[in-house]
Amino acid sequence: MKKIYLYIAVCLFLWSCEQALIQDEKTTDPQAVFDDLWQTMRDKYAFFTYRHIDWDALRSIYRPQMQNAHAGKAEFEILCRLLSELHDGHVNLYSPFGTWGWIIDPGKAFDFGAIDRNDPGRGYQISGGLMHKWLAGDIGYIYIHSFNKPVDGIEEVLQKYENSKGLILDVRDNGGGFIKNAKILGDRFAKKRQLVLKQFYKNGPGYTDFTKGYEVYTKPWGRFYYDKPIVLLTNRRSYSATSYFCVLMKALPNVTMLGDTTGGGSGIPIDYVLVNGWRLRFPASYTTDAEGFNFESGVPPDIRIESHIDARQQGIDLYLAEAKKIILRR
Amino acid sequence: MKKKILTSLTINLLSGLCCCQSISDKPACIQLCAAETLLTLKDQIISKLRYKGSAPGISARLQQSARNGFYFADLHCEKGFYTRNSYFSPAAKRIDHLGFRAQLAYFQSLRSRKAPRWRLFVGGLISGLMDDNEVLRFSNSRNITYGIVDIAPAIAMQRAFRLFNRNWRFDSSLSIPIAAYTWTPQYSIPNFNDSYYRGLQTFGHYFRVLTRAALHCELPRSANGFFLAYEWNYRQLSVKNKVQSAAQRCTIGLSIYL
Repeated sequence: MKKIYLYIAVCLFLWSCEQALIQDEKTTDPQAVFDDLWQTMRDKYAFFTYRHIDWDALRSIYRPQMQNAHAGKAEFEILCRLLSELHDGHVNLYSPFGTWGWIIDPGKAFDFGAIDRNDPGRGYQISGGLMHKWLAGDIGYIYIHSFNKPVDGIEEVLQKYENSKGLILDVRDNGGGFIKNAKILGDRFAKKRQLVLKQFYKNGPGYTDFTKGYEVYTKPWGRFYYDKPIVLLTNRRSYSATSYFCVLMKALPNVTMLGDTTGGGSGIPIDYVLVNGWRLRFPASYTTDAEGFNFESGVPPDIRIESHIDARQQGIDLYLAEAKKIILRR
Repeated sequence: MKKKILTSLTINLLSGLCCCQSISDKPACIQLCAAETLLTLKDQIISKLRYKGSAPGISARLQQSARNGFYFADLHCEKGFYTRNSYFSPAAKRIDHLGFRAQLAYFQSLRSRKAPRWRLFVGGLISGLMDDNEVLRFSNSRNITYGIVDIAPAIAMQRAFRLFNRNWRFDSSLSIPIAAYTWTPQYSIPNFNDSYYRGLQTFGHYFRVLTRAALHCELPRSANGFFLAYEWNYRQLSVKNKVQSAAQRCTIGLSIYL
């Protein structure tokens, strides 16, 4: 009988100790919040070596500032200053005081209205997140504003432009979105299965602890292969999943990438909730093209064109004009 | 997601089939029940914060008496969510939870006296589980999936008694696994490109306690009855990121003798 009492006592003890076993580490102490952010980044952020960042040295600069900081806005400001040392557009901090993020080349946005001014009279059609229209000279134009939405509409769009002389895919100012969508869209233009990317994930706390490269291949789909020339327009604000898309497209034989180097962003950002409830976002991996080039700082175009403010002010889109020439020349 | 659900259902089905094959031609009992589980989670790939939640679910158990013990196969699936502080948190701050469990167990009686007050059993169980937690605030790292198959020695006890002119039975069990095979998220990005960390774990990296207590009541002039069960399950996995979870499950169901 004693054994049974002992058994029941053990069960009751186990049932009651759940709270003690799984302790909540919630705190608003600025130093604890700093430590959580600093340690999480130290263990999982992918680009300390690539960007030549001495994260330990930054700790010794910014942590003392937390000693006198009140929880809240002052704390947020210090954390933002620490994160801004990384110069990384994939790093964000979300708090009740707002969202912090690093903006790449803010002055180099393009003027979407210039497309219409250069080629007026034909309205846009929107199909599954893609804006498209005919341009003069039987050229199809597709603007992809974001990869946040599914891009399944591409099949319908390609059927419309099946007999065009060529296509212009415009991803300028596309800040990215879901890589899955970028991959689906890129795959639609591929003719055969080919290696296009390699992804390396952090797999330990050391700065150089990464997995082997996971190979990413194109996976062609769709009713027909579009074999006409395609010109891909990019600028510095083509970022993250858009850079991923550009690397994939650049590997295809009928694609010419034209414009400026993309903003880069080869890492896949992940999220983490800090001990005070704020959300941190940062890349924990990096991606290269098939040859091993890490495009974290951008994907260089095949043909580089500088964006001239004067031309933009006059409503001239130099990228578009050059893209048309390339297609008609072929 | 479909792939994960299919994998889990396959594990569940296989364990059910294994059990059916092992069962002899003796009378068997099916238990069908509804369950409500109170969940606690601290997964350091998400945060150092503790999340709590609830998940309604359904379970089925096929139990078979053996010569001097019993077998059972148990299936459970649940769908719910975790949240911080309040169950009425905005949906975007929730973690959606989907869980599947399968168990296959055998218990052997320790005493052979004809009508002991308490019957003690020793045995073992193989259990499989798959948890999918979807952090709605997250983007690329929002789906965090775990798969675990473990093997555990277990003890159980039963006591039958009469109350209010009815036959009642109380039973309880406790198990602690000695080894587990786990599919866990990678260190940084969970389950991206379907890449999991797979490996055999023992104490130090994997720990689980499962206790269960149930009270059965027979219906008048029938062996069939209903039962109420309480289960407490604590699990700790320290493979890539430390994960602690606990579940308190209340179950109410019918026992139908075949």
